[in-house]
Amino acid sequence: MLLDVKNVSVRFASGHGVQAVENVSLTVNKKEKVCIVGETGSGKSILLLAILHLLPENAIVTGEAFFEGEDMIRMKRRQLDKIRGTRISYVPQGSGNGLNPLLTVGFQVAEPMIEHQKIGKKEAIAEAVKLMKRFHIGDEEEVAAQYPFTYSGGMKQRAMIAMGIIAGADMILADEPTKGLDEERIEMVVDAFHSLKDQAVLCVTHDLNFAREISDSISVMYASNQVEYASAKELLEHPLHPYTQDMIAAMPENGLHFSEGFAMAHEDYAEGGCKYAPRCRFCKEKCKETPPMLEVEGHQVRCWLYTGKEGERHASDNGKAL
Amino acid sequence: MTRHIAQKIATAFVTIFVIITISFFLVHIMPGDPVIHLVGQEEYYYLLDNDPETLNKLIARYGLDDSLPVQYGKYLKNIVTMDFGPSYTNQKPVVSNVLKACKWTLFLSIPTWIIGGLLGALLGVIAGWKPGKLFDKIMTPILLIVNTIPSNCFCLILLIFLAYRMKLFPINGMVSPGVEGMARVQSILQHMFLPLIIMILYRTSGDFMLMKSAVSQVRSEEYIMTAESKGLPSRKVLFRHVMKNAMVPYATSFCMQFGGILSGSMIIEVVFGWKGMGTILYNAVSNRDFPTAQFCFLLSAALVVFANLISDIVNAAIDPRIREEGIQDA
Repeated sequence: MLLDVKNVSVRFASGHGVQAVENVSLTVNKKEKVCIVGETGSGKSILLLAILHLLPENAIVTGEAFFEGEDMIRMKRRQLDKIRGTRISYVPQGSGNGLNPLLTVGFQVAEPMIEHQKIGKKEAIAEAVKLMKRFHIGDEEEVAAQYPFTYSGGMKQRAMIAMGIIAGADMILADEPTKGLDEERIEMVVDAFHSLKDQAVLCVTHDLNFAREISDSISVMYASNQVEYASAKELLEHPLHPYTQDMIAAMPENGLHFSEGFAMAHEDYAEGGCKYAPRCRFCKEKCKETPPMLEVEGHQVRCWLYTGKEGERHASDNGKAL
Repeated sequence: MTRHIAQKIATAFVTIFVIITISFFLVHIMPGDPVIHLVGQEEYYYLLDNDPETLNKLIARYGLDDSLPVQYGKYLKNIVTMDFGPSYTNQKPVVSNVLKACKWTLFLSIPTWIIGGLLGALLGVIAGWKPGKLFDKIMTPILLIVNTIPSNCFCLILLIFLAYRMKLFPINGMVSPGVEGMARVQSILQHMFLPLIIMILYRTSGDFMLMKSAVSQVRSEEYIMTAESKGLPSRKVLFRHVMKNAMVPYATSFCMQFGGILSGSMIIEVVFGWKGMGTILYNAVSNRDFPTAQFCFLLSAALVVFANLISDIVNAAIDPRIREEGIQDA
């Protein structure tokens, strides 16, 4: 097991105090690809940053995130500097502002290598160009000397994937790699992820199709909670949690059947209770209590439907009867 | 890059020409007849009534009887030859008058520009890098107070306590009369101490605020998180990634302040009786001394335009977006 996240919660101390992530656990094995899906604001990106110890100081992170047996959440800066970038790396959003506007892309891609392997700038940039070639960015020698503002979102995303693996990291944490990209560019990013045969990936996305393409397992988050976690095939074909089912029904190819309502703002949730209850077709009295994470048919699912006798029936129907 | 700079230089020349023209007409539409100041008010009215001939000769001597376009033409010629004629108030050549005042202003403004600029930037980087920490909590309120007190008020407070009550410094002037050699240098230093300290404090506080906000803003950018995620030590994140980006607004401001070194401190000069550019311009405007005022305007305007040009070049050197596209969205 490469990464073992145990009961990680994140709370922001500012204002009323916002619970951004609540008790999330998941594991990533060597070379395994795991996606965390969920809507904007569900806390998936925050979870990623919490694991990497990149959150600002007003974030209170509890729980444990063992990377190769060492807990990153309690790690000191010096120790973090030794593993970040070279054993575990972060791939920011290509459509965002993840590259320094004043440094050449080639240098930024090469930077982890310069830092960790004490290699000269020139050789490291040559290595970066080689790696960028692998992701087909086009005219690599030339574009490596250019600045991020000349890059399209898709080019930036692929350059940043190269940046993630250049110093030999075997675990990559990627934040919404397909956000803001058109179909063709998403295809290129999918190819780039497919070519990461030797690396494990933990990827946050709101794009279910992308998750289907690249992942072995999928974790679903809703309003700071992890609601379901299973292998990609299982989860997409036999979703158990009502939210997962609704989410899949809302995909364009399934006819855009949206469930009513929105995820509420964090402070609007009553103490405890299932957070999907206000939108859930199966909401019952019991849902006022916080559901436990259950092991059902190889899924982990946080829903009261799967407890007791009736639950067993639901489960053996693999959620279809719902 | 070269084309970008050439464009900027061309714009600078056009700007200077426009400033020259405006400053000529601005001075001429001010009310009041300059001849009154040439001969004094009583004599002027005496001559007007009894000897208009002499008055007309005087007007002709200064070229004030020409039509405005002719005066403008002569004025342009004077600028090209750098000959502005005598001052209307003390009859000495304007250029040497003003350059002498420049020297005294530069005594104050160059140390202010350099020391204040560097000190403000240094403190601002420290406070912006760790906002909310002890250093920030102490420095920010102190410098904010300094920055908000009007400078004339601050001058008077220091004058009352340090110069008048405690007699540590002279009250005004630039040098004690009748001293020579090292004693003269010492006297100048004593005289410039208070105005210099005040100017440095203001500059430090202004640059501190600017640098602090630039650093703390850049610090929360996504690419800083990326830099941290690469395992770079804090020092490299700060110098390579944060500082470089925070330098863009700071470099602009630092260059522009250079443009103000001849004209930036009129109030402080007047309060401390410092006979620099601020004082000479103030007197020239109140006495309708056209040539002096025009030369002062020209000099400080040319310096501002020059500083602007330097700041454009420096910005283009730092920021590839400006260099390659001429766009400025940073």
